[in-house]
Amino acid sequence: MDRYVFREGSFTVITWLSGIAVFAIFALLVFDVFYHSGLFSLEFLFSDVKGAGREGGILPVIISTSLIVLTCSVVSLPIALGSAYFLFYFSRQNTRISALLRVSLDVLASTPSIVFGLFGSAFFCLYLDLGFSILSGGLTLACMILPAVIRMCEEGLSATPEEYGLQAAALGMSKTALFFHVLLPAALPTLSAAVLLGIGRALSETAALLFTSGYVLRMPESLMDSGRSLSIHIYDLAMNIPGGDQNAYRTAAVLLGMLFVINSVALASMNFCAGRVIRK
Amino acid sequence: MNRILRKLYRSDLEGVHYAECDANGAAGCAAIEAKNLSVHYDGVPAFRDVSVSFPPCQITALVGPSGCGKTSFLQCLNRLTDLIPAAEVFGDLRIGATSVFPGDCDVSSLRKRVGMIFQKPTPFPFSIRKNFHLALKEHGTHCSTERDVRMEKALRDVGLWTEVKDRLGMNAMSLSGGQKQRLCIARALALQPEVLLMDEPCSALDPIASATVEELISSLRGRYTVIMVTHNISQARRLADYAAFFWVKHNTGHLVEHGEAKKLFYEPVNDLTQAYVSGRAG
Repeated sequence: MDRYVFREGSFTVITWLSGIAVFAIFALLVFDVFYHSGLFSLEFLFSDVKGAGREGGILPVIISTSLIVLTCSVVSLPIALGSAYFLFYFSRQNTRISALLRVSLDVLASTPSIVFGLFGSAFFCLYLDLGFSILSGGLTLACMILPAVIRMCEEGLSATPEEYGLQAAALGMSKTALFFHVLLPAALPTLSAAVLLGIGRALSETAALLFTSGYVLRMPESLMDSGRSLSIHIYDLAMNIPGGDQNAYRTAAVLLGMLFVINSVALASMNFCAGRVIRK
Repeated sequence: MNRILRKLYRSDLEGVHYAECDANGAAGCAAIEAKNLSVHYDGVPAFRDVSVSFPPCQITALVGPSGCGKTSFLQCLNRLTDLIPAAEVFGDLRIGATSVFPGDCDVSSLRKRVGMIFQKPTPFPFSIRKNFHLALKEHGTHCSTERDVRMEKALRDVGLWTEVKDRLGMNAMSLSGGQKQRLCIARALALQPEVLLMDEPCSALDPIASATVEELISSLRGRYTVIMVTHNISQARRLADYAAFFWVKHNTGHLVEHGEAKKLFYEPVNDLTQAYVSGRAG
């Protein structure tokens, strides 16, 4: 066979196979979850937990998860943007500080979440005396997702043309105005993708929350209450509660659904933002 | 109400440039005077000991081969050199009555007075309107109607108004190269500067767009002090009233000759200038 045809042909086959493999894994996972969960009514989402999770719904778990993710987002968003700008600004000047920071962020981004869990337990729960609480969990998750989100936000800012800075300076614009009115809107699609990916990771986190937000199944009344996240609920039902398998699968289906909704909203809002930047 | 405001602002603005800039250009556009000006990058001089004064309200062309410090000189005039961490500036520079390099100089208002146009036109990736509003808001024009009036005036000044008046909400990035450059000039003009610095404003444009921009630059004569860096000697001949010729000696830029453009281009005193403008050197 002609070498050229063989090379091109095998390349096409390999790329198709990789695509199909990814889709197959996704399809199998979704099938597995929905097959075992069976059909369940919306009441599952809106009713209280009964029998340690074997019966009833998952309302307190959904509320706790939302509060944890909300705390995590509120804390991590400004820090991520600020640090990303810091890195972006200094990397253009190639200082050693930025190189050092980047290496530490990369190491932190690949640190296992259980290590963040231990850190959160020692620092937030014990040292700051926040105890097993939604606040501790949210703050720990913020620490965990920050490195990756900062690096992605920095990439987004770096992708904006260097001329914007020069042009803004020549128009007498301040650094603050350059950041908030030029760079941020110009990099908005990438920035929102970074933040939403971070939130997605926070939503599905288990290990970091085991030691920080706790196991309690009650409806949380404040951020200082302990609360169980969806992923911990799945873990607990599957590992510790005999007869909890079906509700574990149902909870997994809800978690998958939430991730799907968040990603779709992210995509839609990114498109909307990109359009708005142009129109306004 | 909006219409009345618009009318008021327009009549207010119309007086500004033309009344202030008399024949000597005493008020509206400023003269520039440099004394022993040098710029060093990491201790290495880009140009050294430039002493020159440029007349107000005229177009001055800075010519010379690449690396002779023309752009660095231009960047000193609105302190864009501040953005380069390794840059150091020595000597004295005055724009009008203001000294440019004391520590307490308000750089933002200096850059409002001394606008700059770059080789590559870079509008911000927003609508045409937002490009103006951003710059104007930054300099304290908080009334949106006033910003619109100023934008319209500036766009009319550069001959872009009729082309874009119906699509001010369109992304500025979708304009053609020449239109983008005229938009950038208009954006600088909207801030009512006294001096306009242009760093090879036509070199990234096609010949037709380049001719339009040249025509525009020529129309700014008498209203603004324009300092333009160009590699195109014929363009400098066509546009400039005044010219300065830079040359590289021992890897450092020097000002060789300056004076009225006609004299510098047709009867240069210095042999190097003679060789450069006739195309024998550079």
